[in-house]
Amino acid sequence: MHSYAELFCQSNFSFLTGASHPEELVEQAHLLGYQAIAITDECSVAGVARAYTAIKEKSLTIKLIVGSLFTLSDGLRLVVLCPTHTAYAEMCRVITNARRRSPKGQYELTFWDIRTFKQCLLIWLPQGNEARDNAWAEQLTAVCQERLWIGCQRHLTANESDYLAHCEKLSQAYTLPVTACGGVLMHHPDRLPLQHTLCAIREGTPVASLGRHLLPNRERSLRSLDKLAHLFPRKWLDESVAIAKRCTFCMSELRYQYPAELIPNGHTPTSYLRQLVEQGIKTRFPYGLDDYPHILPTIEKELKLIALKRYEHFFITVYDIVQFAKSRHILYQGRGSAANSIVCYCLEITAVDPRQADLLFERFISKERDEEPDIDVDFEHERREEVIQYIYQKYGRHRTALAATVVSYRTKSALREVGKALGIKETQLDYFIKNINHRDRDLSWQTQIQTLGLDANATLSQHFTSLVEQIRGFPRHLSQHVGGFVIASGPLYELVPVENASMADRSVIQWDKDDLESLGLLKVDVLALGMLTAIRKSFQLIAKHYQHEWTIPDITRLRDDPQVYRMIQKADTVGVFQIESRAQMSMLPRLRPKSYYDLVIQIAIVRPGPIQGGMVHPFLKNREHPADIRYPSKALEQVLGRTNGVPIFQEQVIKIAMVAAGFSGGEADQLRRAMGTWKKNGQLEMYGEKLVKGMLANHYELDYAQRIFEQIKGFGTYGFPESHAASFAVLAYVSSWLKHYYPAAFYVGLLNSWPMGFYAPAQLIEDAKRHHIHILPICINQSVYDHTLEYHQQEWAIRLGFRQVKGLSEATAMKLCECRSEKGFACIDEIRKLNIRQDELEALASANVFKALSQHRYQARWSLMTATNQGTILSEALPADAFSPDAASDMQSLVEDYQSIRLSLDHHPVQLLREAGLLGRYTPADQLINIRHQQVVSVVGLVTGRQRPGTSKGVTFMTLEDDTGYVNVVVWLATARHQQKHFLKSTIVKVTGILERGDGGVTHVIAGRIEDKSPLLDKLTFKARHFH
Amino acid sequence: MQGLWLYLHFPQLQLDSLLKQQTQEEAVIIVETSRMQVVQMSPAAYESGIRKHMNLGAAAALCEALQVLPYEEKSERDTLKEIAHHLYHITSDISFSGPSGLLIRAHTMLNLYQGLKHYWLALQHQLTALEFTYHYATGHTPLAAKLLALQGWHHISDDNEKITSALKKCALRLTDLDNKSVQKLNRIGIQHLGELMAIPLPDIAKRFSHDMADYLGRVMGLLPHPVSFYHPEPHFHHYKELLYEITDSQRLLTPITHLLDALERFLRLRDKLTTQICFTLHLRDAPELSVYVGAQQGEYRAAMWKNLVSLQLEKLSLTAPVTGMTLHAEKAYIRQPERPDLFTTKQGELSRLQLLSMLQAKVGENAVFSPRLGNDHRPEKHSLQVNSLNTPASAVSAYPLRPSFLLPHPVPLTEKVTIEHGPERIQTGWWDDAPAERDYFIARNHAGQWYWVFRTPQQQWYLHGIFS
Amino acid sequence: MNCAESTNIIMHISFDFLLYIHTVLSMNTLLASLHKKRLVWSAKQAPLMQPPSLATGFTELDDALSGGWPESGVVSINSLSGIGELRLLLPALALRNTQNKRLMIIITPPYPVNAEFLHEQGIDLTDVLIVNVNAHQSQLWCAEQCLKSGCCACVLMWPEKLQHHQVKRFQLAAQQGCSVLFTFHAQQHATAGLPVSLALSLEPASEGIKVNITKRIGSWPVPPFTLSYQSRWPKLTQSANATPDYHGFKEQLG
Repeated sequence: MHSYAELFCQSNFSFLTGASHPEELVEQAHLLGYQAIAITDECSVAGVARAYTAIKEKSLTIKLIVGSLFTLSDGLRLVVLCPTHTAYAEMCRVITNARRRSPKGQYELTFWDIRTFKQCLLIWLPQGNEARDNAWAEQLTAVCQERLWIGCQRHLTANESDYLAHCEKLSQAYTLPVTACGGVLMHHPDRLPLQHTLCAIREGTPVASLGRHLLPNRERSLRSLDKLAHLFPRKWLDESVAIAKRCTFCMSELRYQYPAELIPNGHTPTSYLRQLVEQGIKTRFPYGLDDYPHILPTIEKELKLIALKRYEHFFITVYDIVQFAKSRHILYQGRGSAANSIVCYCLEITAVDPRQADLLFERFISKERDEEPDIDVDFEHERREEVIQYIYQKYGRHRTALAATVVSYRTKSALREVGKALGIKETQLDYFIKNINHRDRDLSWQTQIQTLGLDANATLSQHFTSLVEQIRGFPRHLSQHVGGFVIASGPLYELVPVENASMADRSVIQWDKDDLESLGLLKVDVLALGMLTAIRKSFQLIAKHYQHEWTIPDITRLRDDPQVYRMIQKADTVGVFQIESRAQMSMLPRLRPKSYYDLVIQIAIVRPGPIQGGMVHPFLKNREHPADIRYPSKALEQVLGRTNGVPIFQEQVIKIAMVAAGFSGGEADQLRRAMGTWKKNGQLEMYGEKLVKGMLANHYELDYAQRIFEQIKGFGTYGFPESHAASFAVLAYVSSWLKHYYPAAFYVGLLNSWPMGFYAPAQLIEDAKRHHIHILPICINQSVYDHTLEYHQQEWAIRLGFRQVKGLSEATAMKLCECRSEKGFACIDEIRKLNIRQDELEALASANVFKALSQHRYQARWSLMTATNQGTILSEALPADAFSPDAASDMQSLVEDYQSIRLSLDHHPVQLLREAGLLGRYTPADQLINIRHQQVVSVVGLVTGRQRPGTSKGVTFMTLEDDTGYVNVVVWLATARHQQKHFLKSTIVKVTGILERGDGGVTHVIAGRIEDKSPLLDKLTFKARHFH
Repeated sequence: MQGLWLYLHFPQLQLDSLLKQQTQEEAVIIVETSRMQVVQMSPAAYESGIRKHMNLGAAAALCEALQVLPYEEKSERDTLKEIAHHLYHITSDISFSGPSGLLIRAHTMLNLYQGLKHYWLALQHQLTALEFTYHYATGHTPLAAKLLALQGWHHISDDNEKITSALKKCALRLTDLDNKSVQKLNRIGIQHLGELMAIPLPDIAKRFSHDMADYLGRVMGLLPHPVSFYHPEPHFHHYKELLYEITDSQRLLTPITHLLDALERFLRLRDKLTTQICFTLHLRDAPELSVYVGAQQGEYRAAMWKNLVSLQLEKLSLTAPVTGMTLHAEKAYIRQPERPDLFTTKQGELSRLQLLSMLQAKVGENAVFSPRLGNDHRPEKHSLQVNSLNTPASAVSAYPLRPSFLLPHPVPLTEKVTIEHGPERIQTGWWDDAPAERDYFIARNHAGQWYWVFRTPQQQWYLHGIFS
Repeated sequence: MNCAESTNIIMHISFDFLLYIHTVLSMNTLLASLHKKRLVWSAKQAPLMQPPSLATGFTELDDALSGGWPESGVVSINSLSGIGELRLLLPALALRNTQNKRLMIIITPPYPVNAEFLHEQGIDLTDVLIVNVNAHQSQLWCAEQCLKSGCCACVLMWPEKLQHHQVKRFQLAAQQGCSVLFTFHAQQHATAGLPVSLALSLEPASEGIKVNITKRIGSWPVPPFTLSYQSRWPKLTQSANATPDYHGFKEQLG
């Protein structure tokens, strides 16, 4: 029987060319009985890592050869294969140089680079043109005679026999052996339509008009051995196997060395780490550890395991970064699996105090799992760049780079691109995309698209739906990971090629975080968090105005403060980290968290995962009457005890699998990873049977096992690890503490770090006003760029800053403050002399900033305009104006406020309408409490948000805001559809319906009639945040 | 009484011409593609709540089965030209203003129609016949009339105060001022035209811009407003009464030559050529018969036309005696001098276009064509035919050794053949309903003829081409 | 008359006869000397009336036709269709098409013409017109108009039966428009005796095509010979081609 090795095969990481995933290619090659397969994407090894992971996971016996296809600037085409590790390093270096010379997505290669290949094997692909092929043959044979082959492909095209004769002649003339190769682009012939579509997308012209530019047939796919035997002479096939035998390099040989310079001489990594941990214990536990006996032994256990797995460098590298941030007073916080280790707490990487939370060290590092620990560190989002530049400067640009993320096709982009390729009209595609509701569980998008007018039986639309389905998940291009850094001891490109990212001074490796994980390479995540900036700004304001010095550890050391928790239980959490969203606010009064761990649960439970898994109600039920919680076994009680018998955290799912179903640590972790991606490749089903069988073996009832599995499937992508929730809970507590004790400083901190969080400045100001904090308007003489605190009527009020004025640049604001004398500006002309740009002057005028100069805004703008035409000298001799605009009405000034500073201090739209008597009878938000349950009520308010979470069967949650507070309105699908006109378009709405008061005092109004009141204020440009 | 202007504003020309064809009540909207905003909507769409300037997403959410069409300004301008052409019979001074507005000078026509009312009645009668929705208004200056029409004033009157008071209430957004200056005006409390007119012109020129002052001056009639009017292009139309009825088509030639001479004089005077002429033969108590004669190359000489017409007449059979005939030449265009270069030896006196029009006149238009290259792997879609000589050939790569003749449809192979060369595999065309899965071979039959055959996956053999 | 007179007559006759032979012999030497002095013109030396001709692209054919296709006139070709008869003309027509851009008219070909074939032979498709008309009279009329028009280089036609006077009119039209008419016929006898400037009959041959010139104005008949298409269309002609697999290719599709 013949044997063959495929040496020239491109995956879909040759963007818009290859039509199959690396995994599919490797599996099909294995099925067809090939000896080996080389993944040779164009100037990239991105696909090779995926292929390696697939082989490892499915334990295929086929050999993977690492290689790449190159097209030189003069048109010479080569396939380069790596027989040994040094050859691999050679190739990575050449790819890096080629990529770094040209902008993102392209590469440039000259013959000089080919000359640097000392160990790589070269397969030359002749072009078929006599003169050029001979010239190239001369050049190539001069460089490397014994590592060079001619690659012949058989695609049964029109004049292929001449091409083959030409190759034969070249082989004899230059005594070069010939090998058969496939030029494979598809793992199965049925992928031809997809390959044509990709080509159409790349060329930007519809498929029908590409004609002869497309592949003529399906031959560029993996073909059976006996078909190859027909096509190629036996000698060529055997040559391919001979080449494959010479390639012994395997990706597992890639070893990772940490940067060694951090260890001071005279220390081994272990001893240095132990020394750091001892220092840490002194600072973290100043009053000794005698009443916490379990902490010291765990630290010993952790250190012994770290030494065993040689992860010392990893901790020391992160420790170094964190110390830099501390020295620059940049607030930071470690999270992820690292938050489970006490060593990290001692190294001040994480802030989760082991004394409060029960940490699960296995989750961090486990003996059998050889998977790297991953530590994410959040920094203040305005100062993260300083940390990144520190890393680049410390390790050098050639030793560190960002991990890649693969941007792939999602339904919307797939619909648009495939539609254009098939020649469907642009306006029609926009119409489809806007109308398909992706969260709709019961109607798949294919059926939805038919109701929208795509006629189902035309051949084109059948192709359209199947192509969109196939292209989803295909990579479009590589972009940089948000903050994942790869740091190596030697030059990084020996390990993996590095290419330019779209941002100027950033470089990206060609592998994403999953590839790094499967190849065992270290990654440190440097992420940005807005709340940290807000908290640091609040601390600074408190220090400046209240002269109190506070830090995060000081606050957590004070343990749980009942007053703060009472505020949280009242759902008065606007602006607080993680628990400010509408869904959280409706759960807080029911869960009534009163301790740190309750907060951890609160953050984890109000997420789509637990909600879909149907875990919220049982948790509440068990909490009310803990007596009748039934644990089927002692072991499970130990796992689920702290969460009232209901699995909420990912760690608990792993522990259940290990304890109840007898999974090993490694299998449990693969279950966790499968949970994350089951929507894409459906691996979870395989683990499902294993889990249920395992639990039955340990004699749990079948329905309990299935319910647990259902809950795990519900977790899907949103299951939240306990460690993350623990770290977030710290910030949530600190921000609520600040909101309770220093509200003014808290609001200013938030406003100065905007955009962040769930609410717009207008709503934050509204909330501040409800907490009786006085808000002083922006004034030309008092305000500075940032919002500040100002002592006003014996308490701290918030003075709005120039940053709130739309259209005013920071530079101009700074200039205004500098040129302002002590007692401020006397009249408008002084400002005109500063020759500030005209549109910025107008922005100031419309923000009514010149009130202090006794000019209402129309007057101010009118006088500002007169100056511009005749220059400044004449202005003094200006005669009194014949025309002076009269003052704006309240309504007009309100509209002006929203247009200029996006909020209004003195009036609320609803208040104005009420005073104008346009609203008729309605109940303001704050009087809703004294309305009985199930009573008919009508409310009026500004629509500040619409949410239609996927979980609800088409029910929409609408939030109305009037001058006294918020009202939650529930709109059933039927009412929404029936009164669609009012429901969708309105900004101010009057809703009449039935008031419902759930447990814990949470009130909703079930909408009966919706009246659109917005025509009354049609110019109001209030932007509501709509989460459809 | 200074001048009186009438302005007709057609808000949805494209939609109206569309709705005329399909009568049923369907929700149709016209979307302006660059900003994806609704500009015109059918009554059904209006009921479901769709309004002007709404974006596509909101409109789609409001109404399920919606037909979306892109806005084409060119088609609107053409319909506007047709309307102007129709109105030209009633009133002379018409001028276009934008793709959807017609400005008519009314005061010159008043004494012809004894008064504004009669004039407007005649005009209205003509407009209703065209079934286009329109807003109308009169004003003392062109811009005033336009503003009032856009406002939808719908008054025909020439007394001054009524017009100026209506003008004062116009909103600023309808004026031709760009919206940046409109916003500046709003910001100092000026919402309507009246308030703007209150400010003296020099102040406006000082604070805003000169063209705003000019615009206001023209609206109020203080400054002149030159207007250019529409004149339809002339074309040849000539009726000839026959002395005695003619029944035999051949003998029609003599009267036709007289008409052709008149045509030649008309064209030569204006130095124009025409590519198509049409004879309408008025038959006794039978419907008119019209005969179209086309020439590929623009022609004005009567002799050449006579030649072509005689070829056409051969094929013509008359059902009833002819009493009169009219000659009508539609598309006449200015003659560009033909620059034959010196080198081409011109033996015969016919140019290739003249030869082509002669052949087409003899054997019919679609029996004469020129071969062109398509762009497809499937042979039958790669060899195309076009009717005129001047469509350029596409520079697409040709593979060596293709058969000289391609059978119109592949025919099952019946003879015994020996395979000489192949296979060449073609598997494409999945996107239209003529997919091809073929392996092509060059084969030779016992008689020595070279055949181009192919085999399908179901092992059937077909003959597709001959290497002659 | 007695024997004397008869002998006298015989002697007299023989004497004339001898005189005659003597002069003839001397004449020969005289002729030869005159030849040397270029004073005598003999029919054999006459330069053949050489009509301006078009190189056919095949050397043997050029020699046989002493120069190539006639510049203008009627050429009739008897041959089966599909044995490479059209390929015989095309190199010449392509050459002429590039020299001066004149039309090439094809009247009612047996099957639709493949545009790619003409393009492949180097003919500019914008110079080709195909007239599809079945009525015999209209075909003749069109052919005549095209030949006469002066803007056509050549006309190809597959007529049924041509009469003598029709060919005469074509000759005149070709002269006037300086163009060539190629008529293709299947049966042998169709063109016997027609006043064509050149008549060929072709038979298939595995390595090319067998040409037999049946009639050519102003030239001596030439024995039939075989033209090789090997250089222009190798794949058509070589029976065992080079690709290693051709014999065994029984592979199932897909």
